[in-house]
This record gives sequence, C-alpha cells and structure tokens, in this order.
Amino acid sequence: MKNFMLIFIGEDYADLNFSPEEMQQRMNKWKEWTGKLVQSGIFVDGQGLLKNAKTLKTGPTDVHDGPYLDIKETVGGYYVVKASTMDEAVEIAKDFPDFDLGSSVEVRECMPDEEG
Amino acid sequence: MKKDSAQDLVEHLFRHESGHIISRLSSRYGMVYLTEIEDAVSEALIRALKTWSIKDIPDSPAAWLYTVASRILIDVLRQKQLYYKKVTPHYRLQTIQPNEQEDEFATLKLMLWCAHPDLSTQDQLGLILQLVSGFSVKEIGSALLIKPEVMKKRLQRARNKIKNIESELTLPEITEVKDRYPTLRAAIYLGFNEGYYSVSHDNIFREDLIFEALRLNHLLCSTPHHDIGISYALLSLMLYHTSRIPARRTSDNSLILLEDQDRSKWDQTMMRIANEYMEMAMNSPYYTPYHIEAVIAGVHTQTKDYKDTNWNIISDLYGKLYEIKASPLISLNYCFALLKAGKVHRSKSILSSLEAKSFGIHQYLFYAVQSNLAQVFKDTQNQKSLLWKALDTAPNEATRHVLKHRLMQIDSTNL
Repeated sequence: MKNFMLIFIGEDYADLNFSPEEMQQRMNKWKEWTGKLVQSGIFVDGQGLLKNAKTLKTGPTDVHDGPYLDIKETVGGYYVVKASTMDEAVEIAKDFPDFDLGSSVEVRECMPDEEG
Repeated sequence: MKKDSAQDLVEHLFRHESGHIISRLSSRYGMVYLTEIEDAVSEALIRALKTWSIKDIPDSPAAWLYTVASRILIDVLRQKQLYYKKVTPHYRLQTIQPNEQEDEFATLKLMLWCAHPDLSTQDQLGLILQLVSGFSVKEIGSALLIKPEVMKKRLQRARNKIKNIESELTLPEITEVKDRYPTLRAAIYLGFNEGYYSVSHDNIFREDLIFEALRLNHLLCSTPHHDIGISYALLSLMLYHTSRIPARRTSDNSLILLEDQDRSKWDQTMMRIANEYMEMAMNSPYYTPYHIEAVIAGVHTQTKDYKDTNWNIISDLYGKLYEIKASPLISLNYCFALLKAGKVHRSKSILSSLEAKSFGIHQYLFYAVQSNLAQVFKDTQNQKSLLWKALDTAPNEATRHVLKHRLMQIDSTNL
C-alpha cells in the first residue's frame, strides 16, 4: 500500500454565502465520506485549511497576501489515504463531496521514505 | 460522542446556534457590530465544518461554536478599535460584562429589536429569519416570494433604518420595548402563514418555515411578558393547524381539503399540547382575534367527522372576528361558515359587499365561496362558471387540482 494525498481545490467556503443549514448539510456529507474512509482503514491523515494565507514569491522579503493561485481557487484542505495504485486512489476521490460546488481534487502519490 | 456519525449532531444545530450566538454577542457588544458579529459566526461555522468533517464533534458543539465565534469577533474588534476611536468616537467597544442570561432571553431581545415599529411586518420577519433563524437571503426570498437580490437590498435598508436610530445601537431592554410584542407576534404569524398556505412548490422548505415559526413562538412563550396570554393563543392556533399537516397532502403533493382529510392522521400529541396552551390563553385576561381563531381551529380539530362540524358555533366565532376586523379573508371565511350553518341570506349579503380584487393572490377563494352559494341555490350553471374563474386565478397546481376535481364531480352528478 502506498500513501496518496488528495488535495481539495475550490472556492473558499467563506465566499459561497452558505446559510447555516447549508453548512451543516455540507458537513454531514463530509462526515459520511470521512467515516467511510476511516472505517475501511485507509484514512491516514487530513486537515482543513483556513482562508487566511500569505505567499512568499521570489525571496524572503517578497511576501504577498493570499495564496499564489488563481483568484478564486484555493486549497481548502487535504487528506492522505492508503491505496495500492493510482487508479484505486482516484476511485476513492470520486466520492469527494464538493464536486457540486465546482471544486476539484488533485490526487498525488506521496514519495515513500525508502526511496528518498 | 460516537465517532464519525453525522447523526450525532442535533438536527438544525448550526441554524439554531447561529441565532443564539448572534443574540448573545449582540447583547454583549451592541448592535453596532452586527455585521462583524455575523461574519464571526459564519467563520466559526466554517471552522466547525472543516474540523468536524475530519475529527470528532466535541461533546458540547454549541459551546465550541460560541467560544470560537467570540474569539474571532474579539480579534476583529481589536483590530478595528483604533479605527473606531479615530472616526466615530461614539462607537467605542462597550464593556458590558457577560451576563448570565439564558440564550432565550438574548434571542428574545434580538427578536424585539427586529420587530421595530418603523418597519413593515414583512421586513421584520425577514430580519428575524436572517438573524435569529439563520436562513440565507435566498431562503428568505423564497419564503416571502421576493427575488433574492431584492430581498438582500430590503434587509440591508431595514437594518440601516434601525441602526440610524440612536437608541437602537444596543439591544433594547425588554421593558423599553414591551409595546413591540404585538408586532413580533404578527411577524411570527406571517412566517407561519407563508409556510402553511404555501403558494410555491418548495414544500420541504415550507415545512421548515412552519416549524421555525413554532420554535420562535415557543421561545416567546417561555419568556415571561405582560401579555403572554396572547402569545399562548397564537401558539395554540399554530399548533392546531400544524397537527393537521400529515393529512393535508397526498403522496404526489396535491392539497387535501379539510372536508376530505383522513382525520386519523392528525397529530394527537400536538393537538394535546395545543389544548394546553389554549387553556392557558383562556385563563389570561385577554381575548383577541388569535384567541378566536384558535378556538375555531380547535373546534375543527376536535370534530371526528367533517359532517358533524358544528357550523353554528364556527359561524358565531367568525362573526366575532368579523366585528373586530373585517379583513377580506375573515369576511370570506365568515360567509362560508354562514352558508354551512344554513344562514344563507346573511352570507349572501356579506358576500355581495366583497370585491374580487381585494383578495390579491387569494382571489380564487372568493370565487370558490361564491360558487358554494350558487350551489345552495341549485344554480349549476353559475356554480360551474365561478369554479372556472377560481381555476383561472388559482396560484398553484395543488389548488387547480382540487378545483378541477370539483368541476368533474359536478359534471358527473348532472349526467
């Protein structure tokens, strides 16, 4: 089994003007997905990211506000999951709950320690 | 809490807590920071979403949300403090100590703030739904049949209007605004009616609105006030209506009229609670239109079979309502009850004084009652043409369905 990082990219929740009810429903969908991953033992790690961001562009003194990406899109969080192949990892990512918001998932294989 | 179970989270927790937290924070820091408070609550909910999606929900999610929201707000206020000192010395951060009042009390204060007498009932309701109930502008617009962008502007104008009044920078003390209870009740009742007599098709949200209005009124009734007897009457009235909801719609969402409802489907528990509030309302020194409407709803609810309905009592009660406020809809209901009670001439004379255009979106009801009158006089031709008029003006498919069905019945009995 290898580790894969699923990187969640999309518009920040703060800019989507959700009502509290919509946020709760969104969370229920996420909990359902995460619960499935945890139960099948393939969830390794994960973290949500706050909107607050700075980018150092060309050197230590070149600090900018915001992420160094397209205007609206930002990395909202990541999961690390276990899978045998890239195809299997992509399969896992297919249940990502935020496709309906126009968000996307980037699937990246993590470099194993022994090859480093 | 159990791991990773979405069901563990109380239903509507986010929505209800957002209202509680906005109430508590605005009680504490003043309405002048309303925008910052709303942003902080929204940010706290996003953080909860991002954290609880992965990790366990904390044992006390409400307390977690409140703590996070206040921390965010305090950070923002600290950053802005200098700005406010320079530009608007008046708006300095208030140092009101956190009081031990319950969420309910703070929420009631916020509701009374929203029920400002200078606003229309619709705008009062809109503000309550936004701040206390945690509905989005889109949801409020759909509830009040107003386009979201228009709704957004109206809510903003309503807020500015209140905020421009010096004394409204803080939440009012309950004693200062006791004259606002009637306007608050009217706003809650409007919300209930918008949900109950739905003209749109979005039924799920409509039920949300009904139960939200019930929740707000419950909250009102759990906080002592001088004319609480009137609030009891309104709650009882709303509960009687709500108890009939399970029998009001067919599986394909068409409307079932009172006379055709399967009364065994009525919610008995809710009826019993309605009875209790009714009794408390009757033991108060007040007797208002809400009381009368509640009694009418109660009479219907306690009649096991439609054909046993005591129309004499009901028409007398509508008569009393008619004397207090002869609104078009009350007059029309009175006419219908009179017809049913066999007092045809009184019914006819009131009906002839009414005008179709004063009924707005409910015009079809006027034609439907007129056609009932024609039926009593065995004037089938007129009865049918009036039903066609009702059909033409009916606001939704569910109503058209009922009217078409009635037209078919007439045709089949006259073959």
